[in-house]
Amino acid sequence: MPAERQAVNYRVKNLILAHIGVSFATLAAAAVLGAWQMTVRTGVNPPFATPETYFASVSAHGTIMGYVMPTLFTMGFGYFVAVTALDQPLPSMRLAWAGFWLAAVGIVAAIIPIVMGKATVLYTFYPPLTGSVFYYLGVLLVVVGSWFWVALMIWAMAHWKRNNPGRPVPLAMFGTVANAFLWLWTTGGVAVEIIFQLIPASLGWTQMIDVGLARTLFAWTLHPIVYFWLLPAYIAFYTIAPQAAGARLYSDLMGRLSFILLLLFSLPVGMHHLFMDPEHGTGFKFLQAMLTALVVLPTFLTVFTISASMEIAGRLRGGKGLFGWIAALPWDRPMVLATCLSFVLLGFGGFGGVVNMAYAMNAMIHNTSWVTAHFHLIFGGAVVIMYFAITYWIWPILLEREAADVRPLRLQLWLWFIGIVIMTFPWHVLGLLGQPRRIATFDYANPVIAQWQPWVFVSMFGGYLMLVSALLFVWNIATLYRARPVGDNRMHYAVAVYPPARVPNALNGFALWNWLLLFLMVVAYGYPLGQFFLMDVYPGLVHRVDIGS
Amino acid sequence: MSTDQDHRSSERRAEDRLWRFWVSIAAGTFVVVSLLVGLIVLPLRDEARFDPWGAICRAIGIRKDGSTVTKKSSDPPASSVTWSAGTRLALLGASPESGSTIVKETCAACHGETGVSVDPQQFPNLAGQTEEAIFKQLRDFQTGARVSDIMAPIAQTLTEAQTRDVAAYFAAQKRVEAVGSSPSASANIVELAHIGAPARGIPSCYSCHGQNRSGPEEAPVLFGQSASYIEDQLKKFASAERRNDMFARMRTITKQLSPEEMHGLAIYYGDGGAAKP
Ligand code: HEM
Ligand SMILES: [Cu+2]
Repeated sequence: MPAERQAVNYRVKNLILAHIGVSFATLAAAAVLGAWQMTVRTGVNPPFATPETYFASVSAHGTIMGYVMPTLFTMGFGYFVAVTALDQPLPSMRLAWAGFWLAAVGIVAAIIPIVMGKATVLYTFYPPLTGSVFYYLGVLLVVVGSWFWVALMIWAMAHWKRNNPGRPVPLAMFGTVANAFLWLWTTGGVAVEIIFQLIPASLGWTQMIDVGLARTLFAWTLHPIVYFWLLPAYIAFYTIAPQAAGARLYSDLMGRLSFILLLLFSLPVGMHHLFMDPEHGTGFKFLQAMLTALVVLPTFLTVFTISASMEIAGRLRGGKGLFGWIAALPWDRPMVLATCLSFVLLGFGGFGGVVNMAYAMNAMIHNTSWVTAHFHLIFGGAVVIMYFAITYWIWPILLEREAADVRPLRLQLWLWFIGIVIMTFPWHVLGLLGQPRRIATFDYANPVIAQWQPWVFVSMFGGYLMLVSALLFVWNIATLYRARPVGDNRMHYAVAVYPPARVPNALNGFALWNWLLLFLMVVAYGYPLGQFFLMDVYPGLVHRVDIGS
Repeated sequence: MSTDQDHRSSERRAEDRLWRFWVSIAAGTFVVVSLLVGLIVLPLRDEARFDPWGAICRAIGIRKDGSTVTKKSSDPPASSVTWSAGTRLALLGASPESGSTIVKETCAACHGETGVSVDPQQFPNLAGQTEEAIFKQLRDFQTGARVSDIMAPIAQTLTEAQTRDVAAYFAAQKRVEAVGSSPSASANIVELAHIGAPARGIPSCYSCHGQNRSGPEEAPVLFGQSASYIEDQLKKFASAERRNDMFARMRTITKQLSPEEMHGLAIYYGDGGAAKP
């Protein structure tokens, strides 16, 4: 099985290190901001706390955590998979570096106006609020840079298929290309919004902006972007975790199906973020709610397949009985530990997600802290913990060094897990109590909301645990540079119990699925977007935050 | 050898066709069923009579007769007032003292020196009205967003700062006794004011005009006004003769109200316990 052991060469090391390095550098900065924000919300007034600085901070934190950190991580990991799983060089190193530098310039261009207080529009930039044009241009550059990556992933897979006719594309690469297509579809909405609505408004070319249209375009992006963040974690579940546990993947086919279903059912569903919005009737909200529910299919497929793979591993290691195999798993390995912790967080988060998704219950928690708690749990928790674990797996391969002691790695993962639980559980409660999100200051002297304060304090404590964990992560990676060289740079992906000799074309490429997706998108968004051009609309007056100074 | 390959590739093509077929069937069925339920079945439940066409229209958010409210996107905005930080800060800095001198010279003849109107049927009481509401209306008279042969020339003599001062002055006066709901008001009028009529897309009046208003800044306090003045304004919104309501909120609502309901609501808010039905 030649696809089993590959070396990282083809001169991509620095490319990958640059992407993932920048990704985590920004994460560390944003974690500091996050802990500070938590402190502000408790009402203790830390240094620099004013509403202006709070919203600048949340804008920076959200922009980094939402756009910068996951995008760069996914790009870096994608390049890694493309060379190791396919065992071939990237189609164009120049294009890859060009994408990186575009994104890097974009990050700087976006952050500077936020720091100057000229783009405190939060990462969702809901108009009519508009900020400095450089902020939007910066975000756009990050997106355009990532499109280079998309092109390279699709190109690399096509190239490999030409050279290996009839052979199944390795699962890790199949998932990565699914994510590349997903990202291309995802960014369509926000790119149109930025180019045709926000940039003209921020430059003063237009005085009016159609807020309903902008919100709909953003919703187009807002849901699938979450799956874009999530897919690297799924790729690790399927192709690394079983290997780390010392066994095989239960089913390669399930993996392919899951990636395809995630691609399909993440896109035509974004209007569930607009349940409470008046610019749409209930009809298409209902259709998209139904499509949203289908995401349970790939979720259950994955939970089942990965649990089965882990059970195989546990039993191979001598675990007996109904649950004995769980204890027999190699918990000391960071990847195994992280996978399990991630599953637990996904379970909690999934519960909250069902509440968000239910039309009626959504009204109860809409725009409350519940929402912030939910996405920190799913994304900040379940997903990012896998980013850590992936990095712990591939960084040593890139450096050809091995950490002497994995205890600090495990400590870091546990800290993150405990931190996120302590942070988000009270946060959910606060949401149920009605605490709004995105509010800089609360007057806890007011008896109506005084009961919130203790919960906010507990939550802040969790936030600081996460900050400590983020810094420990940076430390763990830094110390790796002085660890023992091992001279081994082979990447091992999990092999399926029954490795497929061939798979149907439908499960080896994306043509069919892209056509289907086109159909679903036209049905789901055709009228909701088209209506803005068919009927009288009531644009809002543009409100600029960066006027003066 | 070559026939073997032909055989295999034709097998592949058959397999591809099968996938295409079943995927189309599955996706098509799912979409059609969801659309049927979302566009027809569920909305029909809220329809008083069996009216599938009306149900579909409501489900996609338009009226059955295809009408939408009044205005084209190319029209000027309903009002040029925006509740930006700048507007609010300026209002905070307004001076009721200098407002008081302007009122004596310019407004008192009709609206009364303390904002208690000399003829509430014609001229609204301004005492205790909110600063935002008065400011917005004066600005709209100035720009022509609200049309009035009497008020336009008067408002136009004021600078923007004077407008704010006047608003601050009236807002600080004691409101004309707010009597509360009329005992004679019928249950459906009380319900309209408190709960609205969700099936007709009418929010409750209280949600914007109530004591703890969380609605738009410019929504005025209604208690303490005369019934005939209120009814007059409701009718003007309904006919779109008056059109300075932002986002056509009041035009949308009044279009749904019957003349009897407007009358009832006007009495409910306007004359309080003193109402003679
Ligand atoms: C040290 C760990 C973290 C802490 C203490 C923290 C805390 C916070 C706080 C207090 C807010 C503002 C909430 C509001 O005002 O409504 C926030 C917003 C946000 N956080 Fe975090 N966070 C952390 C890590 C993360 C991670 C790892 C992610 C994702 C990978 C993330 C994604 C976001 C996003 C996207 C927002 C923007 C929300 C908005 O604009 O309303 N955070 N965070
Ligand atoms: Cu969503």
